[in-house]
Amino acid sequence: MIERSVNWLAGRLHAESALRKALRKAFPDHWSFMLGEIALYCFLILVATGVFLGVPFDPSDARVVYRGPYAPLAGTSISAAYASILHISFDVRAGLLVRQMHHWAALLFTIAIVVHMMRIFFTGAFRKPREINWMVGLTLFVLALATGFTGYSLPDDLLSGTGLKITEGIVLSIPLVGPLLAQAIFGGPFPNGVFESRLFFVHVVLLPLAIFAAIGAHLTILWAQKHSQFPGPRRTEHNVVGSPLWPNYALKSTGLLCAVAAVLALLGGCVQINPVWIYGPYEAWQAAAPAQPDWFVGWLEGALRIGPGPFWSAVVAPLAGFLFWYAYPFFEAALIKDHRAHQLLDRPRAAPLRTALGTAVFSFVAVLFCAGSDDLQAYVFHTPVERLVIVYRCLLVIVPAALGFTAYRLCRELNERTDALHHVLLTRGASGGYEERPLIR
Amino acid sequence: MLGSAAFITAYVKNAGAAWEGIGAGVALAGLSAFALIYAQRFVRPQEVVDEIAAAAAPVSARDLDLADERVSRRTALHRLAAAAVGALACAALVPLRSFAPARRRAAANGWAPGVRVVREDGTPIKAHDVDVGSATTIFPQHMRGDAGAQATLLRVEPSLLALPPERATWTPLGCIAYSRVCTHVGCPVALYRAASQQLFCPCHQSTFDVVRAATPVSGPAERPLPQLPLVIDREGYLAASGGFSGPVGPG
Repeated sequence: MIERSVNWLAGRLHAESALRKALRKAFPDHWSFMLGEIALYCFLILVATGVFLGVPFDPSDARVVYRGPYAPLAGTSISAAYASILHISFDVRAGLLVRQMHHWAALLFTIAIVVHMMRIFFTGAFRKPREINWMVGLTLFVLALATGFTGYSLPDDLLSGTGLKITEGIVLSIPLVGPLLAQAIFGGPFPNGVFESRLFFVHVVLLPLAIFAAIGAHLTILWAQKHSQFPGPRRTEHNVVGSPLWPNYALKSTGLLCAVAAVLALLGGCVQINPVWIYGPYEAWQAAAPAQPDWFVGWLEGALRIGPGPFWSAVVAPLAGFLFWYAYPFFEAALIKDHRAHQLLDRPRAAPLRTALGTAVFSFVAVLFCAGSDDLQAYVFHTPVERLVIVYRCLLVIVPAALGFTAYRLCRELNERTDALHHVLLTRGASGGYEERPLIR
Repeated sequence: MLGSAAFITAYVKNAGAAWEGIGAGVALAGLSAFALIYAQRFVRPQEVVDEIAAAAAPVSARDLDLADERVSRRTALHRLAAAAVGALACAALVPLRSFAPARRRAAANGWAPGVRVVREDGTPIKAHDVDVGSATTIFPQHMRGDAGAQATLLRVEPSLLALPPERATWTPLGCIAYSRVCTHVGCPVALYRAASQQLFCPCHQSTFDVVRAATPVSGPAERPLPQLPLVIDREGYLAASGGFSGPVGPG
């Protein structure tokens, strides 16, 4: 049956030979190669659950009186958007499940992208010829952050409204163009009764389309360039060794898709996330404390708390950081004068400077992320938050420097130790004798 | 299949998110296990090798030529085309202006001499009804709930106040009001530490000293909160005697 339908399709597209080749395409077996797939599958689940949520959601700032089953808000005047979120959570069957799955999937999506990017960075997979795909991937990360934040902002609850107000403040902090830009983005000082529908359009149409296009480009380039691979027997700079797409790899990947969906269904069903009815509706003169955003903007929140003014900590610094990462493949190639194409991946220890840099930058962002919840820590540890700010400012310098240095030393020592070992491949010939060949590391 | 059945049952019986999630999760986990075990047990492990093709000859300048040799002054033509494309791109950007409203409302907020101070529910406030140590959200009488006009009304011992001399008359009976919009990134400065007379922003922990004209004492804010000059009107209610002492909010 499968054979007949495949041939029916291929025959009409004149694609028999291309298809036969595609089915035999080599996919290297290494656990770290599934990280990007997890992100891809999260996106599929986000689209599916998002379509379900888009139907009952009402992206409107109009005021309505709440008459639903959630007693603490009965009779209060709230926005139609917030009311429809309550409707989805309490009245629509499976609405809460899908809403929570959507939110968990967004968190897992961004986590998977970050860990996938770390894999790419630390193994040098961004090197020639894959610089373009590194930049497409970074763009995907930026789009994922934007989509996550706009989605988090849609319910018009107290937490998300405050987040939007902060975003407006950040835009306003840009010299000269800030006020006009804020006007153009928000359509007048926020809250203003027109922004919710803009936000909805951006979250459900613009950004998903952009992500869809970028994933298309990411995978097309990947397909054309073929996977990189770790060194090993028969693996060279000019080939890819792995299991064929069909059936080995396709089955495993389907298993992964179902596993991701299963985890998200269990999380969505059993672990509460973003209970907006507890936060209450957004009112411009109210704020929740302690308050933290979703994890993927936590570093920005931390930068706002311990950094200099919002223009420097939330506009210039992130922009400079992302530009640096976009340029990094070219920067590294120029620095070590390596312009060859690479098919084999590095172990992190093989490039101590790159590994040290990655460790330092990642720990820098991690410190900012922790600083983003300093109010909660002040509460738990009974410490004045002002003291925590000073502590975090010191840690922001000390931790990346110390960890970067440690990573560098560790790589060097691991290299020295393995260099001292004599790597050979012993093969026994037909005559019974042994042959010794150096092993490519 | 058991999981799918459980999911459908949970959905039909409206058993709540947990049971629906468990049903769907079990169904998907079963399918996942099936695919993985099938791949492990019933599929022959195979290794295939794809060769990476060597780079082909690069595109030559000839391949990229637009016009043939007969045309002289080709560069001039190309520049003209580039200029036209650039002009069109600029023209296409101009309509973005439509996203911003025509008039800027930001400057106007409802405070003016004689405008009465009201609470969130619209009730006016008598000066001696304000307790020392309390904090009240206030609005101009006819702009209740306005995000830009919102202010916090406090009362402190008049002897503690250390305001600039021109603001000496702004605090009848020690009643003092500041804009509630943080000068950092615009959150409502919603918390009041009465013991130390400090306003505290819950978003990024900017702290403002109430008795010293709301100068920032810690946290990321750099500008003081604008003060609202208060008077007691003829009926004994609090009213503004002017607008805020400076621009409201961030920027």
